[in-house]
Amino acid sequence: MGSDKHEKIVLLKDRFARYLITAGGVTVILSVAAIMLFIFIEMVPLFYAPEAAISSQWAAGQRLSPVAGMAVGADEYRETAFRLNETGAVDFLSLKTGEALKSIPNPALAGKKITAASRAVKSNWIAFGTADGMAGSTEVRFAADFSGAARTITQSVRNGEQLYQADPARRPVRIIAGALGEDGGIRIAAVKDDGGLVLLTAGESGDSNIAPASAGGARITALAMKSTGRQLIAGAADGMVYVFDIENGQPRTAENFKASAAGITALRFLNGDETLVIGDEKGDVAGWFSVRHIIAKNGGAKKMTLDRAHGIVLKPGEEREVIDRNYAGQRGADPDVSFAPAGMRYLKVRGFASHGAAVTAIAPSPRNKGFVTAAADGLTYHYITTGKSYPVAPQQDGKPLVAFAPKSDGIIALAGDGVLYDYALTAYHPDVTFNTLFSKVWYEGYPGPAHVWQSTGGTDEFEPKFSLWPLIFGTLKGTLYAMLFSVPIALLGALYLSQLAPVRLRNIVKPVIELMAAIPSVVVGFLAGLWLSPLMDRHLMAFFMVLFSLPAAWFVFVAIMWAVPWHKRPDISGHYELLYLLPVLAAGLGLGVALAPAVEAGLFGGDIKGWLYQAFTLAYDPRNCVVVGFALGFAVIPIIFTIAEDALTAVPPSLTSASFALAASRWQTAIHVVLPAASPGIFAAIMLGLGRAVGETMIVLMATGNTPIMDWSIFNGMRAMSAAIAVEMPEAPVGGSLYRILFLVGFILFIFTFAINTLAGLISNRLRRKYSRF
Amino acid sequence: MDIPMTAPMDAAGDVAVHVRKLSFYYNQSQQALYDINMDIRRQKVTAFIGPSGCGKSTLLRCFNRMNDVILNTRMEGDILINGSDIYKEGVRLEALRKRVGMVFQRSNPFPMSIFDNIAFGPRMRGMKDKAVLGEIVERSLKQADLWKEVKDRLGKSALDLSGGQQQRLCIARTLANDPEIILMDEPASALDPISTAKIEETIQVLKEQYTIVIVTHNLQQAARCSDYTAFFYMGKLLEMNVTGRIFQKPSVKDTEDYITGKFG
Repeated sequence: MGSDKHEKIVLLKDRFARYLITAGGVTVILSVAAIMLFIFIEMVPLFYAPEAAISSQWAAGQRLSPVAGMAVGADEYRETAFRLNETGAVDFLSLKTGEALKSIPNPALAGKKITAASRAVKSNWIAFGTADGMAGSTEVRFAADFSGAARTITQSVRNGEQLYQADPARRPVRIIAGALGEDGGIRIAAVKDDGGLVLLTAGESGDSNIAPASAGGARITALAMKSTGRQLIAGAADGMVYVFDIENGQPRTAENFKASAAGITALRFLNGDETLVIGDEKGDVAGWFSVRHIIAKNGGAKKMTLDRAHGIVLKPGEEREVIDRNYAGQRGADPDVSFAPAGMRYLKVRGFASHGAAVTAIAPSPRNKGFVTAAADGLTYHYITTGKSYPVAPQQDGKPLVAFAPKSDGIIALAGDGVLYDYALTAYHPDVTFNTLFSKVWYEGYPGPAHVWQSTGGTDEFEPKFSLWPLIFGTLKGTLYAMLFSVPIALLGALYLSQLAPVRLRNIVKPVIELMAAIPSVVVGFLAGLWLSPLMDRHLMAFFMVLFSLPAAWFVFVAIMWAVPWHKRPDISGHYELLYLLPVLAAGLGLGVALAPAVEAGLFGGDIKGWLYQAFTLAYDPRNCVVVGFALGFAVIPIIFTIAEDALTAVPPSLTSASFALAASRWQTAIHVVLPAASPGIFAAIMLGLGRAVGETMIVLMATGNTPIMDWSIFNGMRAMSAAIAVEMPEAPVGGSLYRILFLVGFILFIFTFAINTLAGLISNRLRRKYSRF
Repeated sequence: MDIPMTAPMDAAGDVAVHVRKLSFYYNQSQQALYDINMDIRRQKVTAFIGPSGCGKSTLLRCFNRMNDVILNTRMEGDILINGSDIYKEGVRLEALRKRVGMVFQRSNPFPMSIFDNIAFGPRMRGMKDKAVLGEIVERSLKQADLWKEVKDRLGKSALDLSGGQQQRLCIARTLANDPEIILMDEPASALDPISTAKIEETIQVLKEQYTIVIVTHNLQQAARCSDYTAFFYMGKLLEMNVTGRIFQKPSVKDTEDYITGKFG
């Protein structure tokens, strides 16, 4: 009976243990799956297309007044929309109820009629021109008050100090563009009824100045002004675009270019003033960047290839204006080629999906590089970085006025029939596509397409650059240099300790090296960044010298040992190589360091860094890949060493005995018998080291300059994926593009380590099948 | 116990290994061999028999200095092979072991092809000529009576061979070094009877060219294939003589007891 009971208890325990273990295992698998799922969920919205939907529409023409609107806008919360109408009054309309809230007239415009108006990008400042040749400005303001239970928004209007006479003949102003300076001064460009273009500059004190701008008699059909008031662009009916520098109030033609075969109908600078969007009569929309050019002149007698990649070849004596791709600063620049600045030139960088009708209005987003174009066939949302277009509302009637809501989360459009539309825009991540992540992109201010990682700038005007290649490259580069440094050292160390070293030494050295793995990587990174890197910066020549003097000392030692007759040689076979070799290596080290200043002075003009730059254009960066190789290698060595040493030690003694009995030396046995037999373990060790190097964060963060550049040079730094996540985490607002991209980077990092581990497993298994059937 | 050398010595040139007053210690103090004196005849098979732990393998491993890799061992006395002291300073182990080959109890082929296993020794001594290596491999395999079985798969892994074949491969591998003396440490103890018989046949052929010392637990084996037999007990050499004498008329009581199975 007792044994029955005992059996039951055993059975119960067995079952309990089984459930517990199963539960534990399943929990682990589930949590890994959950992490992957979470990363995936956070990452996927990056690739969602922007969505726009009508949130409300109101017959403003009936609810407000049946006069024409000249400009529209909304408050930050998209509660209230405003319309500047042709009488100069600003009407407010609740977007929630469609109720007309108030209408604020401009007393200075009593009896006048507005014929042209233009709203600023980032504020509701509006420049306008009147039917009697006057120009002025007004600003619509919203103040939100949170003191009550609900948010209340107060609308107000601040009219400009005065009206300015743009046309002494008092004819209507047809087109207008303006900018409000930070000092309160304004600049307004106006096209008069006779086609003349004038620039009006007014200080805050009221002094004003009018200067004509000459477009060579072309019929100007569109105007745009940088929000800084430094540049004025005029587009003509023949497709020409005229660029004026207006910094000092006197328009000066900077350049003219043919932008389109059709007439220009809309011009606008995007947020940041870098990109000029040009819309034409046929409905084409294009983004133009201002790019620095230089004039290259071949003063030599030979044909000269300036830029193979871009096919720039200069014949003898030829002079050509080319994009400034830093040719002058490049290595091997031909002394016969001279360069002269040629200033900025607008280049068409991106074309967008065309409208079916003339582009009538362009509204830039105040938050990013997106913009909306309006035409008779509807509204389209575009994004300059990606070059993508997304239809917002097809079949908008007439010539709508269009504006972005201040948070860029909505579009306000006033159709010709007086209907006010309020669209909710969910753009998700318009700045990210698969192409921007992995292909070269021509960013604002760059001479050409490039892989650039520059995720955040100070303001909304900055164009984020999210190419992942510099980060992937950085990880690979850091890993490569770390492995170059650590694999030979770790493997030779393991081989020495397992095969050649006396057991007593092994018993001391192995735990010590394993202890290296216990040093927090932040300490290693700190040492590398703050001690090793300045040390190397100061004694670069000594580092180079030691590279040669150490092996040289070793060679000399070996050569001497060979020269001494066999019987007179000290007996170093009994594991005492180390005792003999240590002083030799110390001597090599000392010699290298001692000779460094003399060699540097003698061969490299006393400045090895300068010489490196002169000879190879190798810029020396104190936080460079030598330091990373050392520091990361320091973290990787214990892993490779320990596992490789175990694998080497685990080689059956019967094999080494057989080798010894066959008259092989210790070294031969180690190389020809032990190493192949341990190869699966050694391979696994290297792969684990590789995995560690790829995923290591603190060391690459602290020991590299974190410069996301793609350059294999060992003398500069890089930015690894892991370091990018750590560095940029605080700068990435939750749900933003950078936030999601950092998850994507983490995902790629996971793919890397996953691939390495899988590969390691596969190859290791193959080797094991081949080498370990004892 | 005073051990008389009952077998009369022939001319000195007939002796391959002289062992003089050999004592051996593990861990500096734990004595494994006591004052061994023996001569091993050239081109004869000498069998070492005795119960487990009697020191016969230890002695065997002294002949090619395989004990050197074991830490904290100490040896007193001399071993002379062809008249020269193998423990003298300046003796190169590689040269010694080339002359004194060894086959182990468990077959231990390298995880390489059959060809590479056999060619290992010559290659380690710098032989690179493929044709010469091929000849050596063929000769060694023929000597070890393995050639017919493996000649078509020299490139295949040696680990695919059967246990008996592996052990003959190990013998062939030793022969490839062209040794003078072959030490065999219980070469057939892990094999089936048929494989054992093959090994024994091989030994009979090999003794025409080589001096063979074989450690065995199998008394029949010693009786069948050895010319001389040495009986060890508790680290001492109790008796050494022509094999027939040892098995028919041992002069020491312990030998007789062991042979007749009273202990062991």
